[in-house]
Order: sequence, then structure tokens, then C-alpha cells
Amino acid sequence: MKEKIVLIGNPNVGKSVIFALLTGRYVVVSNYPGTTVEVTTGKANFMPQDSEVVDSPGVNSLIPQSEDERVARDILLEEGPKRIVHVIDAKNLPKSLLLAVQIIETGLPVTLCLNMYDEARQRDVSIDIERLSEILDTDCANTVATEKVGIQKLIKNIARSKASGFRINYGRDIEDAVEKISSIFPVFPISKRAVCLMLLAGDTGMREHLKEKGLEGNKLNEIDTIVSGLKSRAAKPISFLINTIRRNSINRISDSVYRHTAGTFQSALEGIGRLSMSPVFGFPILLCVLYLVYQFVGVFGAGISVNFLEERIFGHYIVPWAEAAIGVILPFDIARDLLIGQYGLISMGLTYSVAIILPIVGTFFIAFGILEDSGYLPRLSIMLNRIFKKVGLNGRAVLPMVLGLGCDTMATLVTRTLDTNKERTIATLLLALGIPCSAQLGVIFGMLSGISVKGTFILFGVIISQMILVGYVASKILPGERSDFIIEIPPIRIPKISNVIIKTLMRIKWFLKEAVPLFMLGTFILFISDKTGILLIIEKAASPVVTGLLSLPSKASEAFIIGFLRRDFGAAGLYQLQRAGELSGIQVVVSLVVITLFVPCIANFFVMIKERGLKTALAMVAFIFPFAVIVGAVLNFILRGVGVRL
Amino acid sequence: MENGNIDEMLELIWTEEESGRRRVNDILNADKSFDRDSLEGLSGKGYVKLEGEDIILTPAGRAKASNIIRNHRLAERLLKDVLEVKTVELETQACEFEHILSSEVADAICTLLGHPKECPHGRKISQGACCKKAVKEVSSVIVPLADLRSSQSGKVAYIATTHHARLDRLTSLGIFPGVTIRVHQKVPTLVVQLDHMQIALDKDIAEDIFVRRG
Repeated sequence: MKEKIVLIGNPNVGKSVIFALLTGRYVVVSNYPGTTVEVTTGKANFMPQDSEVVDSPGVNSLIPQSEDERVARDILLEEGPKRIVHVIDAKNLPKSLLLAVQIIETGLPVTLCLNMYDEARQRDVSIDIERLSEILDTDCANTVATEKVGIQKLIKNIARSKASGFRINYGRDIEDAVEKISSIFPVFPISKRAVCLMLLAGDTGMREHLKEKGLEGNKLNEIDTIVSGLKSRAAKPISFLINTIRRNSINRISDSVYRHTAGTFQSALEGIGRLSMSPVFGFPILLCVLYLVYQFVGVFGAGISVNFLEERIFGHYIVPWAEAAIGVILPFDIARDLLIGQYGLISMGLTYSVAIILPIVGTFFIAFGILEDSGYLPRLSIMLNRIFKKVGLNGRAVLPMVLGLGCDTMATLVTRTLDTNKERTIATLLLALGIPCSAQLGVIFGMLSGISVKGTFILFGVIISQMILVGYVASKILPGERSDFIIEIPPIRIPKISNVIIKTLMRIKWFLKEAVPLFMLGTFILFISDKTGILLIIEKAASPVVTGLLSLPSKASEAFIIGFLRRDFGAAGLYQLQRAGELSGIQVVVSLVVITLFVPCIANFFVMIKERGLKTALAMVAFIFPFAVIVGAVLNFILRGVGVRL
Repeated sequence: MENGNIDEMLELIWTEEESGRRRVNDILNADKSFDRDSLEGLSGKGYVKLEGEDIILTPAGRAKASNIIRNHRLAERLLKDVLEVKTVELETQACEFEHILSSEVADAICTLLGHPKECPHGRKISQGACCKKAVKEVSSVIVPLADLRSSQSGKVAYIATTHHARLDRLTSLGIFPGVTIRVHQKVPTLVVQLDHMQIALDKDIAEDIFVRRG
């Protein structure tokens, strides 16, 4: 079996840069079996024998609390020879030692890599590396991965790494239990001691692993008895006792090897980081960031790029060429319509997804990647935590919500990073209800520019207040808990362009693979409905609501029906009506409110079913559909009653 | 019967009850120096009722026991957090304290310690008049992290939560007794600095982290 060199460490310590230095050009990014967690593997060129390097997700502890942590732990539990490289943020050594002692306990060959040593030195941190390596009985190398400093030493250390003899004594009660439990189960890929301690700390996943190893039920029961026996004698949870002993030991180690003067470090970047979460400057900075993103995605992506692609490339070349070519090849009207008609796969489906949506989503992903790598997003969570708590979420939900402004479908997938079921459900509902995706936003801004500024405020005021209202009610109705908000805030860093590009390309690849086929399917369904006359029937049926309640021209119902398939398709239909001079200011605002609150696009709906189950997804749609119409009708009534001129 | 003895017995009955045991035999087994007669004596004073094999504290007994336990556990906190007495010596020292504390002194200690919710062994400290009023006239030495002002710092004394996942998450981020935490900002969200790391956390979590003012 190939030997694996596993990189493990806390989040934000530079593991992936170390990984890139240890491997060649060919790496494989794949989902860990049964999860969405990505694990990167590559060939270790520096080892004499055939070995591969595995980059595991960032973790704070080997007792898993999230899917990421479970994956990292499970990689260690795999069969086969392994060497561990524990990558540590040198300036925060004391915190990393908790993970270090857990890794050492596994009994696998281990070496430590004190990375970002330059940041530590800037902050007057000094570490007695020799002493540290002596105490922990393992090699330590200090590195600055981004500058390739110290990598040769690290490679030498990996090659000669061995299991450490460092050991913490957990006191008689726990040690007795460990000894008793170890005698019950057979050999395991990591040391029995580590397994026992994980069991005692309440890691239920560990029990499943033992079961898979073929441990019989009665032996598992025996283990459970020992664990619960120890539990009943202790006043605090056993995991807390174990951690207390560990951290006492860690405190002693860091006292003897780690010196620092806290809080003396000042830099421009740190200043920006501080301001961006301060109560005074935080919100103005937030608005600045929003404005820059709008300029890049809205003006450059949705304006300039879309014009170029849609009007020049598709309008002047591809569509006319396709029309000419197909006109010659396909003599049948129906087949021609299918490809280049009003609802044609090329004229509508392809033009739409590649010429309009792709540049908008692409520029959004670049902007999102930059925000992600700069460390701004956690600060945004801090600014918005309080308002998110009102709707049963917390600051951590900022990530899927902001991503939703790019693509609601992808954002719905990302809601699984939230901790509790309740939060995932609320986030999914709010995404489906009110977060317009970038493509839709592009069209919305286009329409709003044609009417008075008041319209913009009314539209977003209504959307935001309805989201808060619905979220608030949902948080009261849905059973379950909101999870704790505890996040680490990484320093503000200048994003590495190469990293942003790789991430953007991966997301665009996902978008092409997942979303474009659904656009095509949506266009095809429209085409069929049009040809069979179903579209007309639905339009007729819907027009009393559209013309009566919403006071919109009956043609607008077509836009709403298309909005079933893509909200932005629908918005684009409204845009055309407005350009044809058929919508007044009030009608623009009312129709935009309805289409924004409307049911999500078909791709998003499929993902909702996949993530939340058919029943929940249908319930959400059944709520959102009438809700959108009612809000639109009430707004229409009020605007007309007050006599607002837009 | 001596007063001290009554106190000891009420204390024992209270702690046994906390562990879900209220049978007469449980009490007698837990401390051999008491016998059935002494329990009868206690009953005669109106502190307990004997109902079959069960022993139940009367309202008067409950009030008295609650007071003693509160004194004992406050004493433990004082000895451990402020005077830094070793854990092994806590018990004997606290036992002597519990009888001599007047309720005014106990409340003063309680306020000094920031109205702690549990003793070093994780058992509950019942509320005194001072906690209910939440008077903070005497400036506390041990306060919840949430009460520190911006740029003040403190050393974590204990974390008063039995919420398993919360404890584990705090520990894995490096927040545990002994580390020094500085409050970086309080609005819009509490952010604390710990070594060279910044952590944002909800106020209700910070209410459970008790620090000694630094």
C-alpha cells in the first residue's frame, strides 16, 4: 500500500501552500466519500518510495464537531502506512498544541511544521524550537511557506519522522478506564490509547468505527459500561476533564518554549481589519465593499461583458450563423423553432446561460473569492451577527447568504455548513424567498435605473423587511436551537491572485456542469408549453390575478410563468415590457417585488429537494408563491392609494 | 444535639438529594457517624420529615441547608479563585468556613466573586439575596467576560457551562482556565483577543466565561 503523508492543522495556517511545495503539478481534488468536503492529494516527489501527500481540511480538534473535522479524523483512521505533518501557525503555537498532543497520542509518525514564522517574528514571538522538539519528542521545522523558507528541513524531517514517546498522564480514574477498554478491542490503525480517550471524550463516531472493525455487540456494551461508570463518578463531562489535563500540560509546555509581547504589533492591514468590524467605521466600509462589488459585478460583469457577449458575439455572429446553418440543414419548422425560435435552445437557452449569466456569475465568483481570501467575510459576520440572530440564524449564515447574491443554487448547497437543522431550513427558505441572484440583480438594476430613486428604496425596503419578518416568524415556529456563534477571525491578508483564479475556475466549472443543463431543460419545457398551447392557458388563468390584484398588463403573466423556471428569465421578460413602454413606475416596482420574492429557479428547487427533502421543499414553495403575490398586491394597493409618483 | 452536627447532617441530606438519593439508608451509608436516632432528632427539630424509607427536607430545613451549602461552595470558590489554595485542601478549609459565615459576609464574598453559579466541583450554588438584586457595589474580582469593558483584560478563572459542545468548542479555540483574554470590542459583536488570535463570540457565551480582572 502507498504510504500517505497527511497534512493536518488548524484552519488558516497555510497547509495548502505547504502542500503545493511538497507535491508536483498533478493534484487531484475530490470529495471525501459521502461528504462535500474536498480533499486534495498529490504525489510526494521527495520520498524515495512511492508516496502521496494528502491535504486534510482544517480542524481545531480530533474530536469532530463538524463534517470537516470528521473527515480529517477519518483520514487518520484509514488503513495503511502514514506519516503526519502537523502544520502550525507559529504565532499561535499554544492553541495548536492541543491538536499536537492529540496527534501525538495516535502513535503515528509525526513531525511539526511551525509555519508563518515571519508573522511570528514581526509580532515579537520567540519560540525555543529545540526545547519544544525535546519535550514533544518529535522534529520541528520553522517555515515561511509563501517564501519557500525551511522546506528542505521539513522534507528531511518528514522522511525520518517516527512515533513520539511524549505522553500525558490523565490521572488514575481515566488511565484505569483506558487500560480496561484497550483490552477489549483488537488492533486499530491508530494507537488504542488514542481510541480509548476519544471514546471517553464522548466521540460517538468512534464507536461506529469499532463496530465496522467487527467488534461484537457485547464487547461494545462492555465499553459503554466502563464509559458510563466513569461518567457517573465525575462532576464535569469527561471530555472537559481530559481537556483540562491536556491544557494544563500544554500551558506548562508553552510557558517554557513560547515568549511573546501581546498587542504591540501594528500594521496597515491590521488597522483595516480593526476598522472593518468597528461599530463606527464597520458599516461605511461594508457599504464601500458593496459598492466596489457592484461596480465590478453589476457594471463590468452585467453591463460591459454581457453587452459584448450578447450583442456582439451571440447577436452578430453565433445566432445569425446558427439561423443560417440550421435554415439550410433542417427543413422542418418545428425543429428550427426548437433550436432558434422564440424559446429556442440556442437563441434562448444557450444565449441566456452563456452570454448573460456566465459573465455575471463569473465576475461575482472572482469578487467572492477575493473577499474570501482577504479575510473580510468573518468581519462581515461580526457586523451582521445581531440582525441575523433576529431571524433565528447567526453571523455564520452570512457566507451562504452572500453567496446567494451570486447563485442561490450554490448557496443552498452551502447551507449545510450551518450547525443545526433549524438554521439550515431558515437559511434555505430565505434564500428561496428574497435573495436575488446576480443574474436577476443585473436585470433589476437595469429596470430601476429607468425610474426614480424612490423605487429602489421601496423595492429593497419591502424585500428586506419581508425577509426579516418571515425569518423572525420561522425562527419562532420551527423547533430546534440556534447554534453558538464562536468564530476565529483571521488577519486581513492580501489575496493571492493565483488562488482566487483557481477557486473561480472550479466554481465556474461547477456552474457549467450543474446549472446550464437545467437552463436548457427549462427552455425546453417552455418550448413544449408554447407549442402545445399550455402556456396560453396558464396565462389566461393567471391574468385575473396579474391584471386585477397587481394592476399589471396581462403580458406580464408570461414573465411570471417563465419566472417559475428562472427568476431572472422572468425579470428579463419584465425588462422587455418596460423597454416597450408598457410599464409605469409603480408597475415596475410591484412586478419586481413579486418576481424577487417569487419561487426560486428550477435548479435551486431541485437542490432544495436534495438538501431538505421533498416535503419541506414543497411546503416552502407553497408558502412563497401566494406570499409573493399578496405582498405585491398590498404594495400595489398602498402605492396607488397614497398616490406615489415613481 | 450540637448545632455543628445538625449542619453537617442537613448538608449531607442536601448533597445526597442532588445526586437523586433520598432514602434513609443512603444517608446512613454515606456517613457512618450518623444513625437513625440522629435523623429522628433532626425530624424532632422540624428540619426533615421521615416518610417511610424516604427522608424529605421541610421548608425550614431546606432553607437552612441551602444556606450552609451556599456558604461552603462560596468558600471553595474564594479559596480556589482568589487565594489559589490547592484543590486537595479545599474541602477541609471550606468545611470550617461554612459555619462561621454570616449571611452578610457570604453575600459580600458572593459579590466579590461575581455571583458564581457553581462550585469548583461543578455543583450548583444557590442564589443569595445579593444575586437576586445583582448589586455590584463591591467591585468584583471575578466577573463574567461579558462584563469587561473594551481593552480590559482578564485571566479565565472558570467556565460555568455544562453545555458539552460549547465547552469543547471553546477549549479547542484555546479558551480555557489560565489563559489571558483581552476584550477587543463589544459592539456590534463581542470580539476578544487571545495571544495573536481574535475570536468573535455571542454575549450569552461570554456570560458563562468567568475571568479574574487583570
